[in-house]
Amino acid sequence: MDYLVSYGELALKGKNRRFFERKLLQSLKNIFKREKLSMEASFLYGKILVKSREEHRISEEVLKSVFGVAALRPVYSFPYDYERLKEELIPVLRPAVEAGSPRTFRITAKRAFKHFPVDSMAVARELGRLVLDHFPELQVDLTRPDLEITVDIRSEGFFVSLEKVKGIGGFPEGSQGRALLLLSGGIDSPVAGYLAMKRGLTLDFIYFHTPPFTGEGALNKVRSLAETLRRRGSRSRGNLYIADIAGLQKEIISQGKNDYATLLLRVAMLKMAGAWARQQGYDALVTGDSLGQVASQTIHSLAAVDAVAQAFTLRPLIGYDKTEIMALAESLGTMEISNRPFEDCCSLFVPEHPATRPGEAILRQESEKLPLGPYLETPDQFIRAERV
Amino acid sequence: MTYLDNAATTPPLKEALLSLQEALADYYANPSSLHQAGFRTAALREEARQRAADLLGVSPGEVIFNSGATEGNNTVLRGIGSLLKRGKKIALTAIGHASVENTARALEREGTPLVRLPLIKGGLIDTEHLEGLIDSSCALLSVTAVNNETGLIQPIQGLIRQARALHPDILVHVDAVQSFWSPLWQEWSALDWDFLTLSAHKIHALKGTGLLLIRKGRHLHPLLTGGEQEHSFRPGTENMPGIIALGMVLRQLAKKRDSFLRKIRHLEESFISGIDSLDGYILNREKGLSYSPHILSLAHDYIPGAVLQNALSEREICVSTGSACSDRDKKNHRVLVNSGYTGQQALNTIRVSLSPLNSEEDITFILSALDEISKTIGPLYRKVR
Repeated sequence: MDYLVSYGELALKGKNRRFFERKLLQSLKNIFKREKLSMEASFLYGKILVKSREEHRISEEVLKSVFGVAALRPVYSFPYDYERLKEELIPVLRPAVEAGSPRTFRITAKRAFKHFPVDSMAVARELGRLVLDHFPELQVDLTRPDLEITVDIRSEGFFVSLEKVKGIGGFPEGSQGRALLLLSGGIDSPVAGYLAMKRGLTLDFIYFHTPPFTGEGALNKVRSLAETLRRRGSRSRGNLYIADIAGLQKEIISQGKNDYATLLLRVAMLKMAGAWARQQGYDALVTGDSLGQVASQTIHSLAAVDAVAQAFTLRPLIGYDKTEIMALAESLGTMEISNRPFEDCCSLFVPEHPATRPGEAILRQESEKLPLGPYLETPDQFIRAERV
Repeated sequence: MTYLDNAATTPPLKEALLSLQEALADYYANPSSLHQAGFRTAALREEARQRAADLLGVSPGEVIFNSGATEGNNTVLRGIGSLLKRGKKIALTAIGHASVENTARALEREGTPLVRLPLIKGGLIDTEHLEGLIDSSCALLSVTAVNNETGLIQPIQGLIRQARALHPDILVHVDAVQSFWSPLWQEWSALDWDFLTLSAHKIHALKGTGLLLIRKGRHLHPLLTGGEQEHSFRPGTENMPGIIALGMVLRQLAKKRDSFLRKIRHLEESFISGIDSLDGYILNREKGLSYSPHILSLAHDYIPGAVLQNALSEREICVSTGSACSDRDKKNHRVLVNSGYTGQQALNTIRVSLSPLNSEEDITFILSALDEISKTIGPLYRKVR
């Protein structure tokens, strides 16, 4: 089966349009190759034509999940020969008409190729007459037809489709730049990463490891999450950076119970991730913060942490409820991974009365006491990269 | 690597399995097949059965091969269940292995009432107070001989005697998986149980193999239907690799159990005296109770078990925790908390479990690691307590 892929929002982008189109085409090709799918993609003015030898169910599943795909139509392709189209259209329609037993129909003709001598209204009338001749039980209904037969007229040929499938939307992966997702192993950060990817960011991942407070189990969860997210996009491999900040963690704890402990750790993590992002050429950080979810995610906490950390951070979940986040995590398949039991012994260090209206000045002062220097100047000393 | 997690699984006994590959290449025929090759394989299976029977002091007809103790425990609890009249109860502790506990809970949801036996500190069944709990409405008593987390040995003989005094027809199931290094092992032939479950990979054979012992004249409803293997009780072509390996390992164990046990006891002694001289650790053992020498459960005053486990793992020392740190995993503290330990102690517990393949150096190594961890990480946790 062939498919005409359209990319909605993308097409509005004026001069950049070619760039976005190319990114989308590349995404499709990468996925076909990675998943060893017998599918090919090529440009067709304003659309992408995908020729697939895979089962329809699989092709559709793959295509509608690619970032940047607004919609797709399974199409029957005919060569550029109007007489032949009229001969061959009916046998193609018959199974659909018999299976769906529609009572009404309409023909929508679109003449993308303006040199075609017959105008679209005339094509619709002519083909409509043909359909009525062969399926006398059908009636024309232009406003709410049971079956809409779309005929795309292009110099490459005629493309007839009976349905339109909504795609995931967003922008092609990488069309907006590269970002570093702070993955914790919890439920939220993978969802935030997915939303960032959907808006066209290529993602790599950073995880802050604090052995022995967190163990190999937590790290394995993060590996699975990173891989699951990476596979949502088109790449065959991504980078997971494992940053060992056990030394810092110990430093923070050894200063004793501190209402700012969690915020200090967040400042440290964002500063370090920011330094790494600058060094490695990432455009932004992404976190799973959702406004008000916990003490460290109140508007005051976020503002103070951001002011001190000075790292450009996107928070795609800021307006999401926990239930919405969980539903998304479920559909992404990350929920099951995030829920795997693991030892989170850092929770013991969480202050009993964490600051919810932290003072920026105090936070800055406290963070200056941390031995952050080497973590920011030579982050590679503490970070090892894995391919996921 | 220092492997001290032998209650989870044991390394296969290499010297016993030297000829396994060859045996598997030769004895490939289906033991149910009625030809020479089939007979030969069947004979090998029977040899393994005979060895198991000899070692346990039962008759070969009472031994059924299956996939392990989880299957065995399910078979007993569920197999009884379907023979039970409605309303008949199952008596058990709240500190059994998950394969008993969760099966019992599933049966409870299906309408079988459970009777929980009273425990004293440490998890010992209080056999003095079974009256009013065990009576003619109890069809089955299910008990774990040696607790897999604490190593506690239950007074099986007294328990069975007491239970039968209260209800002579009660059926008794013993989960004997961790009993191999306990004195109970030599008593199984004399004790009056009805069903006994065992697992091969806990005694240096392979995973995926288990034994279910059913006393002559007792009946269970099989879990599976199919062919006539294992007296139609456990249909499906036998797991010959597992059975052959078990036969080989049992032959060695029959010869070496005494010397192996001496070694384990020796290691146990070294560990206990070492722990006594370390600051911050306490053994989860109660005065007056008996423990299998191969399981040593201990807690740190401040450090969570999971952190101890991670820190040991960094040093390539493998141990288990019965529990996890986060609050949502409280259910993992079930055994220790129901044995009478505080949530804090349960949280801070690790389990060190020995095999005869361990050495004195392993003990020295883990003791010095535990000492170092206590000294470096202990103060951090003391601060946040």
